[in-house]
Amino acid sequence: MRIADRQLKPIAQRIAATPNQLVDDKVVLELLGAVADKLGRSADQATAALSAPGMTRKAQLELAAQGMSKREKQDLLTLLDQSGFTFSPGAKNFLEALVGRATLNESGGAAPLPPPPSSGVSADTSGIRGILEKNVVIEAINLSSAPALRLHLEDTKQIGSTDAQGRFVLDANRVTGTDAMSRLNAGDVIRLRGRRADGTATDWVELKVGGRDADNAQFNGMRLTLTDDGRGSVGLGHNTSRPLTEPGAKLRFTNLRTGDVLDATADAKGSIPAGLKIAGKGGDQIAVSVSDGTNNTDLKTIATTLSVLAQSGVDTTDDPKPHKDETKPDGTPTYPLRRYTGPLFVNGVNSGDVRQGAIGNCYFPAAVAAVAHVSPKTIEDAITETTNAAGERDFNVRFYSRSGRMEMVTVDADLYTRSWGGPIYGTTGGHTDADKMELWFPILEKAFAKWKGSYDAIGNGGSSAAVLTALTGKSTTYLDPGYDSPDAIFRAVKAAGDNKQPMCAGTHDDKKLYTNTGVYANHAYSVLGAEESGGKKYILLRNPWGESEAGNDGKNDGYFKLELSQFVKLYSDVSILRA
Amino acid sequence: MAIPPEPLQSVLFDAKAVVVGEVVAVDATGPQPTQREVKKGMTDVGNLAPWQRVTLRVDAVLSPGKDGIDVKKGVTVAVLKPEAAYVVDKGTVGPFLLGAPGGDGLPPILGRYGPDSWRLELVEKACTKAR
Repeated sequence: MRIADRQLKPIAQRIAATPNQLVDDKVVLELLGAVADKLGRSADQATAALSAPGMTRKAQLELAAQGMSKREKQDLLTLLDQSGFTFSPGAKNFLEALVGRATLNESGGAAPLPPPPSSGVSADTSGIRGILEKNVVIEAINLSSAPALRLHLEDTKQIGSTDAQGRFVLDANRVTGTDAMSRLNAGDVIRLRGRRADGTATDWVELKVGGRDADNAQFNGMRLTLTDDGRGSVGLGHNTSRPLTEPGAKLRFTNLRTGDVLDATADAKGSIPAGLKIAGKGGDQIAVSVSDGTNNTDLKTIATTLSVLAQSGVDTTDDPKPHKDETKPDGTPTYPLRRYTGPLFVNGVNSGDVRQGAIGNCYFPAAVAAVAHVSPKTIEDAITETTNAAGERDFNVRFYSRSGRMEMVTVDADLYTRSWGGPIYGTTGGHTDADKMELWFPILEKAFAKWKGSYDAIGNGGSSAAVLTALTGKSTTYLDPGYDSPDAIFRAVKAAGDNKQPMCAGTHDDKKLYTNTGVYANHAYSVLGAEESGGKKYILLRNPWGESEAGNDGKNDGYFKLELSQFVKLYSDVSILRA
Repeated sequence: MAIPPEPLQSVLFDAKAVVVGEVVAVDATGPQPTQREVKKGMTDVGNLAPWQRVTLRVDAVLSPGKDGIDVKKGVTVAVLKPEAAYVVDKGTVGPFLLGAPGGDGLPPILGRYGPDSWRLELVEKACTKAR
């Protein structure tokens, strides 16, 4: 897109740099000012004249048209036809009328935002306006869209500030753009407050965006826990400070087995009252419907269906705390622990058993699978099943410190578990049912978390080489594809693979390198060896997700091979356990 | 952040349209989010790449648009790649699951790794099953 006029060009560049590239009446006014500056006025003076009280759209059009040159007209046509910008209906009509392609709709323009009211705060889809304290920064969150996002109620966006009289007028484009204010739809509940210069805040103000509400309240089933109390009832727990739904929403819980129904209303935090119970037991399916009072008022449309967790056993072994993403502000876990009763090993240990969970510890399963691939006995020997004094099943897991000292960690088989699925963290491939899942990998991961302090301590990145050492007591050597030659890397990996030495490799953090490659940035992989075939050299790898790999062998099991030239381009380091 | 992709079914539930497409232009890129230092040998530190506003050409429609998202074979649509652990570029292809437009009017690309989150065959199969 080529814009020739020196006044129009920077405006077009600025629009192009915004995420939504929206041209509305406000932007049109700037464009008109740039066009009207031909009349012996600066663009600012022209904009001021165009904004003068009493100016109608027709008068604005005439003023701009008087000063428009052929080049400016061509630039406006380019903006309309070639820019790809999004035009509000009023803005489009105005510009098309100016270049002679349409008749001006004198009432069709998106009216400028109305002035702030004399008191209070209001909003519609064009923006938010009102009066708060003077000279405060305004923080806001959309409580209607928040349930679907990873937001606490205090995760606000700074949307603007008040003037010396406490007034503010903010258009929708300025207000939205981040998770906290992802949208400004009719019917949305917005919560805002002012932040003073001294860091203190005003009280929250809550308002509803005016207009026809077409979006029903959202409901985030991942934040609801259903637990069998063992006495014929199911407890409903909202185990997070993040909202379940929007404030004031009506909720209906229906036990699909018994037909029992429980209605509730979400409180100001989008939560449900404490202590809610519905008749039922472990394994029941509970359907949840939600209404914002305008949509789905008969609650017939089901938002989600959740499973009731079976009653947990008595816990006598200390458990590592979960990752911070699964922890409430008071320190308690978002998800309950569920006791798993499946076998420790099924057909021994295999690298394909290892599946990374929803936690940032790829380095751990990558290293564990690498050891499992060449020396399953190392892992089988590291985990010993016992029975504790209370007659419960425990597991003693052996790790080695950096100095080579052996340390034992005792854990049970209680794993943090979602209501709607299996464990949150690592699993073993195959069944994730509580009574069937092979336990060795989640037990090993739990013990590692307990050894290091918590799942949070192991869940924000780390080193595969350190895990290889922790599992075996041996140190590692290191290859750098940016320094070592491809042939040297191939020879070292081939020799180590043949010698059954576990290996891991990590990728760069430069995400551009990885798009559409089937390999992922800043990710750890197990290195399973090297081979030559068809005159080409390959490195054999496994993704610890147990899926998602380069190429397509039809299995999608995480195992794949990369040509050596690709490997040295995509991988930043290789760690090899010393023999 | 090299956490596995979300379960496809849960993301499909939120998708307003599913298409096979190609990024034909990256029209705007947001500021770089705060980055943690990545020491040699460290992985999974959780750094995210900036948002991108991109033009996507629709080559096939796997699940028709709804709730105001209009997707037809051959058209181009402006979409938002949110701050995430991946980037797209001109020529990036794959299955794109598009969510409800945000305040900027742009449907976001869903999935932790966008078009690289799930294999095309899996997405096709899931969409066929959902019909």
